[in-house]
Amino acid sequence: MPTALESRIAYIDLSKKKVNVKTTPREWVKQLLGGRGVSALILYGLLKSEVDPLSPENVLVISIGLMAGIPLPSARVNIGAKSPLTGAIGSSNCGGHFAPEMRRAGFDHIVIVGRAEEPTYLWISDGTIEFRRATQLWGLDTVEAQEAIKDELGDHSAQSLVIGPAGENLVRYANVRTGVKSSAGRTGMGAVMGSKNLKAVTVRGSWDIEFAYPDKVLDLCIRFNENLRKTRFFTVMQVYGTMHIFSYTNTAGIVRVKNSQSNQLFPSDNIEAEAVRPYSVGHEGCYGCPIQCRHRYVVESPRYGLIYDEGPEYTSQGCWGSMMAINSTECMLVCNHLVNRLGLDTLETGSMIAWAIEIFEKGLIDEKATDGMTLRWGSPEIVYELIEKIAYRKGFGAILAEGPKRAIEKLGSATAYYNMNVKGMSWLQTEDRAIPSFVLGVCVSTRGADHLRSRPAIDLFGLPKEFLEKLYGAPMTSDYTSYEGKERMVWGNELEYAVIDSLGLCKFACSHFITPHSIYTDTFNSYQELSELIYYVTGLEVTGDQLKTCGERIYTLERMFNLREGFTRKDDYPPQRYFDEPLPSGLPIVRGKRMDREKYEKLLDAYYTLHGWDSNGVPKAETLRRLGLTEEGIKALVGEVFG
Amino acid sequence: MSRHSQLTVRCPNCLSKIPVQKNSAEAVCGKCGIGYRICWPSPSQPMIRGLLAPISPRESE
Amino acid sequence: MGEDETLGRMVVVDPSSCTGCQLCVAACSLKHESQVNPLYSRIRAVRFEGKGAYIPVTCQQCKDAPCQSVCPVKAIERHEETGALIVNQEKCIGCKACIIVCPFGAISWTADGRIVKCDLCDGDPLCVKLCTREALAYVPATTAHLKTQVKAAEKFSEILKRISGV
Repeated sequence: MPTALESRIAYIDLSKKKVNVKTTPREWVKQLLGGRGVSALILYGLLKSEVDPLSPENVLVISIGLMAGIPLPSARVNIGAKSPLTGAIGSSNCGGHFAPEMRRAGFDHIVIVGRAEEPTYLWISDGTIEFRRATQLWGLDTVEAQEAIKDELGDHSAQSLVIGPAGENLVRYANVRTGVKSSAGRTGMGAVMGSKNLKAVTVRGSWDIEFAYPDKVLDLCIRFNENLRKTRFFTVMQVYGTMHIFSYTNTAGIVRVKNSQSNQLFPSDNIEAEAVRPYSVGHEGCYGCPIQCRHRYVVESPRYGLIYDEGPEYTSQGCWGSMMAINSTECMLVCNHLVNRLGLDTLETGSMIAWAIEIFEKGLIDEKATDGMTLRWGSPEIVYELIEKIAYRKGFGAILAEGPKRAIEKLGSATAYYNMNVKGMSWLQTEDRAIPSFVLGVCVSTRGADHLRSRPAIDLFGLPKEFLEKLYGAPMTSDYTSYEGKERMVWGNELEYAVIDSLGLCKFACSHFITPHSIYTDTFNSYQELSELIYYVTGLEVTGDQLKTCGERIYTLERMFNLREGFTRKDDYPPQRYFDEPLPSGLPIVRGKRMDREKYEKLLDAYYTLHGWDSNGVPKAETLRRLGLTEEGIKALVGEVFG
Repeated sequence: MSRHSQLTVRCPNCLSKIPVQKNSAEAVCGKCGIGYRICWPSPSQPMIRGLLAPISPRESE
Repeated sequence: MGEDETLGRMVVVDPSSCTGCQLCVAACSLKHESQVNPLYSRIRAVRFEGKGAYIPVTCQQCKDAPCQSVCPVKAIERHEETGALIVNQEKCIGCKACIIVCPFGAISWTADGRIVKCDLCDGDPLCVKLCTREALAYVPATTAHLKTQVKAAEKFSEILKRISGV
């Protein structure tokens, strides 16, 4: 019977149609927990540098968090591989109902190599693994494919990770999806599945999930539920979901508008969270979560007819609303539906389209490049058209489907300045240049421009200095426009999120991600409390300090993967625009702000120092020794399974 | 629950508390004079929804 | 003791509010079986994801309970205070006839060979306590219809508004 400590790893070779099952080494759990952490180890250990991410040699790792299945927001599943978008480490996680089902089916980690001869899906059930033909599923959208698999298996509780047409067509930012909305969106994991002819991985299990101290786990679950409900955060998340963030960020003037030309959209009433309520027919959410933060909605579109979907999230609000300068609820809901069904990362897709419109507007490309389309702001029809062209790699869409680096090569170096990316992955839909902590976090993120690796959103709250000092262990300013002490804030959050991701918990519900609410919930407020949870679930004694070290180990390991692929300090900077152009609008507190290069350099130095990396961002020998990440150390860890 | 009983929002510009009348759709910051539109995730919990008006001519472009 | 008292309160499910989160399912199984397995949970929240429908199903503690009638050894007994139908494990012979006749599929068989079903947690059902979307309520059976009634009335009032143009 699966417990978090006696889990198994399946190594699956699609070319040879062979499966090898091993036990997860105790040492992996102690040092890397699960999910994102274990995924980083497997990728570092099994991949050689310069492997083509879309070749059979790439390794795809599906890994659930150590806490998967407990009655808490614990259902994150991590998908890892070398990223076809960036060439750096690819790693993306999503919620839904897949992770607990995978544990019940008998596996915590699934490692997939090779390429199937024909479209295939994997059927994993109660410890068995079957290769099944998927030619009948090829071409289906992400929801149709899941429904077809359930029908074929005659099992409506089976959970699948699937790709849509975008993944099949190797769009470099195709995502992997489960359910109607949960998406492992970033870094193009869907394209890796597509390159392996793998349409889906389906799991179903009837095995028990057992715990070391079940009564204590239940007590924690009840306490978390009761305390979370008392917070203001809970009410806002239940009613609006992540969309409530837009109300703050657009009001302040920290969202991208017209690619990255402005930072506040007015009017914006139709893309605010409140505007979605009339379309909502109820809510949905992930396994075990008391919040259930997303809407189920119905919208009628003249072009697409009656649409049912879930969401949208804050990211889609920004991408299909403010970034395109379109103040339309319908457009936002339709675009969210299109990217969901086609299997595209909403953020990368939105960002590439916004870039295309700006460089067209600037005269850097013309109708010859865009198949005769006149690109302009504010047109839903143009956006719909481009989303479809990208997913099916038609005409101009085939260029945008290549992601920032390759598309810039094709459209000319003059277009590079307007492409908002770091390490070849697009900046999120927020405009962060007034907030040094946000900029640093996005730029040093191990998977390319990304906020989910560290975002210290509580920097915006102007919390008392004493509170921040207690939280981060050193003095820092309450002013979010300041650089002072922000390296510690980013570093601290990186470690915490690496741990949360590897445990498979939800950042929103179980950490300080967007509010300090966990202070009030009296649960998972510190490494100490997480270590208590781990003990009750697994019986394993991991101290708070050891947990923090796990976070350091995971982050440094991901960094090492990227260094091996040739990424260095030069890849840890924001786009030039962040230094050159002051913010044109927004509240007085942000208006006119831009990044200061000298201050940023110092911030970066200080950040590297905290990690124990040198001034090029390379881990020092003593750091590697301390974290057990020397060449021999890693070889020994990996060798326990893949010796 | 006492910390919920006051109907206020926090000004995103100066961080000072702005009192909100029950069910009101607007509130103005007493300190910086910026006007906000208000929405209500629950009858006892106001939230800033957006700006009442553009602050300078540049945002309305 | 009057009928109203023995069948006093019930767990009412409201599919229109259920989000299929499985919190009730996982917690029920954890509380009663010390492990998480939906097979042994006394409540299910069946998910029809593609259609956007989530339906909680649990024991209705029927008045003329088929499980109780069919039991050849009278092992299913009515709890005096809560009105819950309780399986007396001493008497139960494991014939599983109750599983077959239950119209809600609310009775199950564990891997270690026990008949299990909802016992209303002795009058304080955990599933209801944890449900944050109010898809479950523990209310007097005589008022169980009120929520649905009010929802229906709201719909009517909207229709009337549209017709009368007020």
